[in-house]
Amino acid sequence: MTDSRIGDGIARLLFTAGAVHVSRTEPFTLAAGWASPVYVDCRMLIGEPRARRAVTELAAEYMASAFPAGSLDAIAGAETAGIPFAAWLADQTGLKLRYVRKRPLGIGRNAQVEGGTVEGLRVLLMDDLTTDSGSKLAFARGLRSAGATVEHVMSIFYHDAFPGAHERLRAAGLALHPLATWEHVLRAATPDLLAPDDRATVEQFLHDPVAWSTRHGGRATPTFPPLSAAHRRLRRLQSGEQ
Amino acid sequence: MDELLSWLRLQKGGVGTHAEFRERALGLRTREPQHAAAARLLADLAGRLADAYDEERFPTDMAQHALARLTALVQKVVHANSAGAAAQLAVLNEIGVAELV
Repeated sequence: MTDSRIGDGIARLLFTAGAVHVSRTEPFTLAAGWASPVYVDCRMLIGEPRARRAVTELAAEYMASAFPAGSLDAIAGAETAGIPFAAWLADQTGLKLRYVRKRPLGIGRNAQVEGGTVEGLRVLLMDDLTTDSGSKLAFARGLRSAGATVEHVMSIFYHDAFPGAHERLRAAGLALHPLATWEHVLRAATPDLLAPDDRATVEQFLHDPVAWSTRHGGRATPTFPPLSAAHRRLRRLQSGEQ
Repeated sequence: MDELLSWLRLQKGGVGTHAEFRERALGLRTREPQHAAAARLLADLAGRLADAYDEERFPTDMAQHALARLTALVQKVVHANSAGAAAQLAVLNEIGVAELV
């Protein structure tokens, strides 16, 4: 669960860094095919020393409250934008640092994880942005294939508009820890940071993101990968069914 | 290749479509070795777009154009199956110099 104070702080930093882009006329297509009038570029936080220090401190504060001391061994940055955030956070928390590629290169060592072995390590996956969680599943698979235990994903911003991300992660045994969501961004969006017309566009989109996407040429329905037999069994157990 | 084309026609063309297309096309090389060259070239083509626009702003008009272009090229590969070697080579060369955006 996102801490409101931390979320509000991250949201202000996103605005200050110029990371929140709204287009009233030309929608963006997000990775999973959803159309959206907004695009958040967390990489804008990387450049300024003050911004990246502040993000790192807020992320470390979140970690201290969310994870018991000694429960993690390493932080793995997700290629590309997750890597710098993971590096600063690993420095701040004294944890080991690794990074994980989007996919193995297919030649040479064919490794997906770099920075040393993750065999037997409890690893926090760190990325800048989460939309539908598809890429997080691939990163977690890569880390697990290399022997890591991965149960948590931390994301600077979670584009919590479209359905399915939490469910997909849960089905894969992963908990999402977003530092900020749209709720925080809209709360931080004073008129000098977000023009009233842009705000209206965002609110209209957030009212029904799937319908907005459909109207603007994007994806219309969420799709989920079929559940494995183990996941179906787990769900039956959780719901008390035999 | 027919299966790849059918799958592509159901997609909305986000960066994820192109990343997954790359994996599917690369996988096709062993299942349909007669299409290995086309599959490699198509995988590179979609993969270049996926790498270039991953984490970047990807306007919907551009996404739709890229998807239409990729679909048309896959369709040409499918149609060239029943044509001669010269036609197949022409399609390969067309893909070899194509970009999706």
